[in-house]
Amino acid sequence: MLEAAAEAHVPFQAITLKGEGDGTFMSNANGWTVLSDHGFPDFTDESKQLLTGSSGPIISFISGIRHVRLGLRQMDDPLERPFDFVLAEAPHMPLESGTEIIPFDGVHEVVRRAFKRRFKLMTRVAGLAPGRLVQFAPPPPVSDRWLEPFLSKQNVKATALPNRLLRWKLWRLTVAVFRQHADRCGARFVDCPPEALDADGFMRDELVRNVTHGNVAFGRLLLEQARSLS
Amino acid sequence: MKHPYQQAADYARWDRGVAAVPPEQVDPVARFPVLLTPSQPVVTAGSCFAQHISRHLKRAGFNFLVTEPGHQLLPDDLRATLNYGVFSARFGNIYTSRQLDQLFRRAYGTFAPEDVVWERPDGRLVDPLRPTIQPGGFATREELLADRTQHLAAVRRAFEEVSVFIFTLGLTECWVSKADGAVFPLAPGVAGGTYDPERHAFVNLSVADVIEEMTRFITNLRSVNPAAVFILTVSPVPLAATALDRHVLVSTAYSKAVLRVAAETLASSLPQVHYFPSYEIVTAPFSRGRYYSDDLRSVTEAGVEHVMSLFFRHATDGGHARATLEPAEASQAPSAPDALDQALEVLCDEELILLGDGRPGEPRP
Repeated sequence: MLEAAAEAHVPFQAITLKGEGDGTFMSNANGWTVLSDHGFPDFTDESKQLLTGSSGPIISFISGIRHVRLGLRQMDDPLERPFDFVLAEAPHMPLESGTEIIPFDGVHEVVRRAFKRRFKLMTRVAGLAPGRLVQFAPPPPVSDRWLEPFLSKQNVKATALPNRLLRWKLWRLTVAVFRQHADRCGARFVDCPPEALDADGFMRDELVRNVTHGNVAFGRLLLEQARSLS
Repeated sequence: MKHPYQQAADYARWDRGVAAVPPEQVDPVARFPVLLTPSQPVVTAGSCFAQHISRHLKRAGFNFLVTEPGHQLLPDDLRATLNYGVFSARFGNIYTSRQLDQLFRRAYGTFAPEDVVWERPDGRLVDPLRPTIQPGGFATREELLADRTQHLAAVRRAFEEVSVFIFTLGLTECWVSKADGAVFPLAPGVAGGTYDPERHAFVNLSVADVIEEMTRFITNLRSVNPAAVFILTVSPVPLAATALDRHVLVSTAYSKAVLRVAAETLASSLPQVHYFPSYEIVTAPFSRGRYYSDDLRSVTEAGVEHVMSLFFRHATDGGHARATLEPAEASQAPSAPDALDQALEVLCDEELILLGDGRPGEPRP
C-alpha cells in the first residue's frame, strides 16, 4: 500500500507497527512520513500527535498471520487429526472428509483470542481518533501455486498441501472477527477489494508478493478503495 | 435361637449403621461386586449429578473414556465451555431412561426423530435432543447436522469401547413429541423451540417404563459390547420444578422412588448390573442436610466427596488412595513457534496505520 501510494505521489503519514517502537521516523521530500512504533504498552508521543493532529480518516491495516498459521496447523503434527468447520457466512461449503468438525463459535473464539493484542491496538487508535478509524480487511489467502513452493522451502513434513478451503474459511472468519471489533470500536470496516480475488476467492496470483502479502499491484487496489472513502 | 435381626451385621441396623456412626463415616455400600481398575474404560452418563462422578474419576486417574474430547485447537477452557469432556461424549445431561434408550437407537440409526432443529428467538439453532450442548446455539443448520453426525459416531465408539458404564438416573418427568415419541431433555420452549400442546405431551415415567427402557438399552448396548458392566445410581438432586399440579416435593418423592425401585429391580434381575447408593449417602438424615447447598437442591462438594470416597473404597481396585490429582493435561495451545512460524513472521512486515489529511491525498502534481 505504501509503495502504491509513493508510486502515485500520494502524500501520507504512517505508523509502522513492526518497528522497534523507538519513534524512529523516515520522511522524504514527497511528503511521506513513516513513524516506527509498535504501540505497546502505549504509542509514543509522536505517534499520538500524528493520530490526534489531523481530522481526516485513519486507515488501519492492523492485521496479522495467526489465521494463516491456523490453516497450516496440520503441517506441525501429521498425527493430529485435521480439523474443519462450517463457516456461518458460507454454510454450504463442503467439509473435508476425515476431519474433526469444530463448532463455528469455537474457531471464532480461537481466532478472536489470537488477535487480541491487535484488537487492543485498534481500540486504542479508535480512542485517540474517535469516528475516524477505517479498518481494512486482512489480505486474502494465496493459492496453492504460491503456497507449495513456500512450504517446500520450510522444514515441514507435509504429505499433502493444507486444506485450501479451510484456509479460505479461516480468512473469511478472520475478516468477520475484525469487522466485529471494528464495529465495537465505532470504526468503519472495508472488506477486501473484489478485483483482488480469483474465481475461487483467493488472491489473484499476479497480486501476490509472498504467502502473506500482496504486491504493489494489490496495494494499488487498496489505494483506490482508500481514495473512494466518503 | 436368635431371631434374624439379632444376627444382622452392624450396617443392617439403623442404630449401629447410622445413628452411632460419625456422619462422615456412614457407609451404606457395605459391599460392592465391581472392582474397577485404572485401565478399564469407564463411560458416564446421566443427570447433573453424573457430572460429579466423571469429574472425580478423571481427577483420580481412572480411564474415563471420552470419545468426543474436542479438537486440540480449542484450549481447555473453551472445550469446557463447549461441554466437551463433561461426559464421555457431548450428549449433555441424560435425565431419563427414555433419553438413554433413544440415544442408542439414534446412534445406530434405528430412530430418527422428526424434530431436527429448533430455532431460538435470536435466530440461532439448537439440537432438540441436546438443547444446551452448544452455548448460544449453532450458527447454521449445516453446522448443527455435521456436529450431530460426528457426535453420534463418538457415541457409538463410547458404547463399543466401554468396560464399565455408569448411569445416573435423574428424572421421570419428561416431554415427548406426539408425532414420533421422541423424548426431549428439556421441555420445548425452555432452551429453544416452542411449546405446542398439539405437538408435545408430558410423560411421567412409571417403574415399568424405566425398567423396560433400561432393559432395552442394556440389551442393545450388549449387542455391540457383550462384556459391558453397568453401575446404576439415582441422582439425589430434587426436581427443579414439576409439570404436575402438585407440590414439587411430592413429585420429587415419586420420581426418586420410581427410579430407586427400577434400579433395584434391574440390578437384581440382569447380570452385571449393579446399584451404587449415592442417593442414600446424600439424602439420608445422618448428614442433617449438610450435603445440600443453600438452595436445598444442589449437592455440596462434601456430599460428593462422601459418595466418591465410598465409590473408590468399594468399587475400585486400589481403594480411595487413588484420589490424587492427575498432572494437568498437556497444553492445548497451538504449537510453539517453529521454523514455519518464523518464516511467516519474517514475511509479516507490513502492518501499519496510515494517516492522511482528510481523504488520502490525491496525486501530487
